[in-house]
Amino acid sequence: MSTKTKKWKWILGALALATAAGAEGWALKKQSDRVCRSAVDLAQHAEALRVWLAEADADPFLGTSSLRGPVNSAIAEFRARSRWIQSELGARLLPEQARAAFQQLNTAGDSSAAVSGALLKVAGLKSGLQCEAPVPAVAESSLAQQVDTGNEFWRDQKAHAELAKLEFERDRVIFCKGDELLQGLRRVVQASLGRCQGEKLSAKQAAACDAQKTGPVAMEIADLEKQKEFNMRKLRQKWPEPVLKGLQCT
Amino acid sequence: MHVTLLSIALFFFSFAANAADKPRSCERKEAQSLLEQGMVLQGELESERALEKYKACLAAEPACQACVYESGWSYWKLGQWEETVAAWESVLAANPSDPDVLQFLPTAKENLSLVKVKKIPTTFVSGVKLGARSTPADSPLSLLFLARRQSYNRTPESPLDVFDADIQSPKSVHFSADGKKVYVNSLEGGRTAIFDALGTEKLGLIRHKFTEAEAQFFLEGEKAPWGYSFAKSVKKPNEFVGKPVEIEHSHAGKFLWIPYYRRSYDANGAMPSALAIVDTATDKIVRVMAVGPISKYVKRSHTNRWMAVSHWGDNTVGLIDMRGKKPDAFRHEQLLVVEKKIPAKEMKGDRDSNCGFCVRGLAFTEDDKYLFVTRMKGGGLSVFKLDPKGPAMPLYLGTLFGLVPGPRDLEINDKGELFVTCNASGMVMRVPWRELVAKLGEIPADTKYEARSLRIKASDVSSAKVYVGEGARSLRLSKDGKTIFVTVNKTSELVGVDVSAMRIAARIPVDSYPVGLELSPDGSQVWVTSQGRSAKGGNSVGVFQARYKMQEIVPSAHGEDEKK
Repeated sequence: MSTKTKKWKWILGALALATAAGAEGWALKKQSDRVCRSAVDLAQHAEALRVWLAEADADPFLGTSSLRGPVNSAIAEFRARSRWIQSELGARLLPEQARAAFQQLNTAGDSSAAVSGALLKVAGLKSGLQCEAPVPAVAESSLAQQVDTGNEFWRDQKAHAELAKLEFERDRVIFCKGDELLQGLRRVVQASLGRCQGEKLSAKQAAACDAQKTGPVAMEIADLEKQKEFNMRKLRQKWPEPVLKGLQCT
Repeated sequence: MHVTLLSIALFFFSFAANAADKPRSCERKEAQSLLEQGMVLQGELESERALEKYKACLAAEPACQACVYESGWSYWKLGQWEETVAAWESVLAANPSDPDVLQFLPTAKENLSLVKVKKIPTTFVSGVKLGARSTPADSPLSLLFLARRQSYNRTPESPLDVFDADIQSPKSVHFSADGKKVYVNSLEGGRTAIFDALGTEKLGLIRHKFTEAEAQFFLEGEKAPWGYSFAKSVKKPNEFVGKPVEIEHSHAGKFLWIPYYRRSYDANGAMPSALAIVDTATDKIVRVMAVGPISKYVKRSHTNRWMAVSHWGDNTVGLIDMRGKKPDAFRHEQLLVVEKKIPAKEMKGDRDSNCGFCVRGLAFTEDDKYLFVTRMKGGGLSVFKLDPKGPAMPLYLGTLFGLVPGPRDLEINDKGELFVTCNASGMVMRVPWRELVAKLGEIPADTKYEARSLRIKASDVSSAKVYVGEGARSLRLSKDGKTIFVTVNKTSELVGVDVSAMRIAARIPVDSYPVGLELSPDGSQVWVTSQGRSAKGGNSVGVFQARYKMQEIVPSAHGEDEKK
């Protein structure tokens, strides 16, 4: 018998006592089976949720805003079940490791890192929890269905994210093209102004140097700056801040 | 013919001193020696050092008119027109019938008036104002004349206008594969100047001068390929100054291929020319390969199997096998003959115009199975069938006449469309190349090699054309394939053409007379080389910024473009 299975010894003991106690004991056994089955069920599906959260966290094009619809329903169901398991009865019936995992999940708040960490622990219970008899329950099958639907929805979300990436890349190229033109012109002007310094300039050359500040190139720079601002406004309207953080022009 | 006209400048240096009945000379031995040293230096376009010799010559013999006359040419090449005029007026005062001075002094005065008085002669446009913009102003394509490097005005007003003595009859320009460097071939200067991508800084210079010390670059020694040979009178065929014409890169930008118009000793362009291979990591020449007479254009095949070099001088195109990572692995492959090769004995007279069919432009199809060659004289497009993956010999399919009268440059895009400029008519034509190959298929298979030609009308194929201006020269397609840029030599303009509509999108004046052009890899810059003509204009490289205004607005979230 493994160490983890040993942890269930006291449950089995309690169940034996409950059986001996008649109908009340049968209820407790049924309840404990249900707690056990629910805990296993959550442990089996925790990884799917963890993947959603981790992917949403890692990819600004998915982001927390994409954790909605069926994914959100599945997460809500999962957490509700987790809270139920951690109820007084569950708390009494579950081993310490499992109790701690569900408690961590229920107190993780909204921090995706904390929730992911807790989900990882719940997922880790999968091989340790062994229920006496599988007792199918409507609630359990419902969670499996919700996770399946959530996974399907998540695939769609990821496909949309890929499209969004392409669109963002197109926007980035447009924005950066203008920025490169602008930087290039600034360098040209910088170099030209360098020629205006430290040399003996004729009056005409000095005038031409002064004219650089208002001449066609300066006007072009002003126009490109205006265009850049305009494009940046457009980008801010279109893309969330985490996505815009990735806006880098080489 | 552009090179014909330009070559006048070349002849100045080669023969001007001998144009009078007897060579110009000084009386005193020391002065004569200094005169000769100066002329050698000027021949290498070391104008300032040449002037030092002439000044020393005049110190040794103040009355030596030969040194005064030659100093005029050095001042010319430095763009010091007042000094040129003063020197030659002094020569004319001593000899009012000096034929050379009588011939060239008016042009020097004209150039002086251009630079000083700003009176631009109608015959050419030079000193175009920086900051000029293309027309029409509301076009989606906007060009801005941003900067210039030139060797005709030593004291330009604008800080964006830079005097550069290495810009001598610039023929072509080429961006490095990464877009960080720009190479400008100074044909008469025998050098390639290297600039940063914005043209603000000169990064280096490649001199195409070969002496005994460079013998190791000639792996084949003094042997010429494809049955060519050097005249017996040439004792050291690999010691010369090369006149760089065009540039192509290979091996992802690692090597540059620069064909020479001719070797400096081969005044008539009747002997094998050469092609330099430059390692772009060091910007040094690493190999020189002999090629046919008057090598002009150079084009890399898409499968990187061949580098093709057109030989203006004798109706041929050389194919060089460039498989292999190192230049010493490159080898001469076939010599393609366009209809009929010109025998050496017929290579006489003015070789700029006495060039047979004057083959120039080259374009491989996307799959390298066909090579198109332009024939500027007589107006033909010749086609060779190639076997890029196998050993089959190239096959001359024939020549199509009747599309444009003087095709010069051509490009093929990834949609199978061939674009060709016509120097004579000023047209740019677009035509599906497969239709041209299909037309050539109508020539009976048993037709003799030299008779394989077909005259068609533009309406026989799905062609579209646009008039850009007489003297349409180089052509470049933008990376997205939506715009063609063309240099128009006679009107001294850079013209942008909207490919889908084959309509002019923008035109802007450039220093006369433009010949070459190149787009930066990101498409934001167009560099134009103005080579000049008949000692007028030219000696200038213009940097133009290109903006595609419809393509620079970030679209709205729901695809509805807002107006700026």
